[in-house]
Amino acid sequence: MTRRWKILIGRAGTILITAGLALVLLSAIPPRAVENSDFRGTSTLQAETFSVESQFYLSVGFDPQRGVYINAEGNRSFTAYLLNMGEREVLEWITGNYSGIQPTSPIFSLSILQNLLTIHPNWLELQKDSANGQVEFQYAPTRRLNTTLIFSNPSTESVKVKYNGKRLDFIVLSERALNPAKFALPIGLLLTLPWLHSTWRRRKIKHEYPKLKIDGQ
Amino acid sequence: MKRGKPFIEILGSALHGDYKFPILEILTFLFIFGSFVFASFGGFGSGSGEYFVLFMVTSLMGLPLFILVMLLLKNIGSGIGNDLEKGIVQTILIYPMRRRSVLSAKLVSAFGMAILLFFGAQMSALLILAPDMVIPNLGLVLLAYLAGIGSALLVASIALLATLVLRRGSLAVAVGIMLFFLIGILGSLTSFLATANNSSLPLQLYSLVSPVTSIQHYYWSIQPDAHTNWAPSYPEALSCVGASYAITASILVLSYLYFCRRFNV
Repeated sequence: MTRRWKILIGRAGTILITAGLALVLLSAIPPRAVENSDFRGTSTLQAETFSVESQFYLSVGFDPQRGVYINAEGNRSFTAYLLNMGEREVLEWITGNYSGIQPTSPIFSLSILQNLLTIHPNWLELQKDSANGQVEFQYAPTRRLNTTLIFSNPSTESVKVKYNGKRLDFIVLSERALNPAKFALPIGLLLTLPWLHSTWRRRKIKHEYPKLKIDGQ
Repeated sequence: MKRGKPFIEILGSALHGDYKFPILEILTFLFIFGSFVFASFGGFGSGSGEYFVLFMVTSLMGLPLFILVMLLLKNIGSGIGNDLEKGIVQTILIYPMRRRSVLSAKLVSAFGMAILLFFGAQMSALLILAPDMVIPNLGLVLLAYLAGIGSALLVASIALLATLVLRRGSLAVAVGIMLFFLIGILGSLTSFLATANNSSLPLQLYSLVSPVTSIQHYYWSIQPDAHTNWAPSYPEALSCVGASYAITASILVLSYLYFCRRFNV
């Protein structure tokens, strides 16, 4: 490999390293909680039911830099869902497909949710099963959208879910910036090695033989 | 010597001069960091329509576009301008090689590399932040970038012509900076004039130097309940971008003609 190629590939490597470091730094910037955006609620879910949570701060749209933090605790295991459809659209779908159901009661049979997700699998944005009766996550979408928070109880016993949350402003969601950085940094380092080695050797030769001219220098 | 070898030699030398370590790395960092920090997605709501995609791209360009202009002017001023002042270009021209190859090699380094770096950093930021908005609207994103950097290229090509004619890089850089600020001031002024006179003419004229204006007005005008002084059709908006690039291209052609025919060694 000629020295020119080593320099070219080496500089591509240093660019990748810099890009990776920029992403690592961006991922370290913590999200900012939006003032007075805290919300909380409680749902008692009978066996094999789900609830559509109605919260003002969940109904205002989200985008890649406007997300949400949710922490939910239940006395038994449950599942939390975030749909990428507004609460109104979800309730309209339910009442439109199941006659006799009143949207004023936000607790529905679990089969309705299963049916909804079978017909509209692309509505599902996020699903978290509770470990030790707790679910905690930060979320920001990859486009502008409205969301609906749903808790479901797949068990044969009732579950009481208490949750709280707040809206968050991000520069970028931490893991979204870290994932490409994980590739950029090692690849960049690999590309830079031949250039660093060549530069080190040239310096060494120059140090040992100060009067020697290398490549016309 | 192999065909194309002198071009590569001059390009290599120009790249080395324009992007000494760690200039390229610092710029990469600034472009990436700035792209994320300046990103905006158009306020609350759920619409993922084309207007919001355009809003996102133009917000991302913000300060990074200013850095791009400064980089282009620096490359022209301290790269091509300094080489002219020191007589390096004149020395190169003594050798039997095409003059246009010399200028092309310098421009690939000064313009091509800078734009590649800017575009690469911006697209990376967009694909990390909002892939579901970018991938389905890739055509619009590319058009927005084409229109967005139009004013930067116009300023840079004027600075290039001035550098070649005056043979002084620093003066051309100063002219370039003033022109870029003037375009910014004209943006607010034409918007004011268009509203005051209820006329689209100031905006149409302004879109010749800042082509992104026509694209923004087109996508804004197709929004429901939008009020605007200028509602261009899509072909009209595209022709404004084309006209702006035609002006830039003609200035670049003038620079080539001057360098190839009138530039005395």
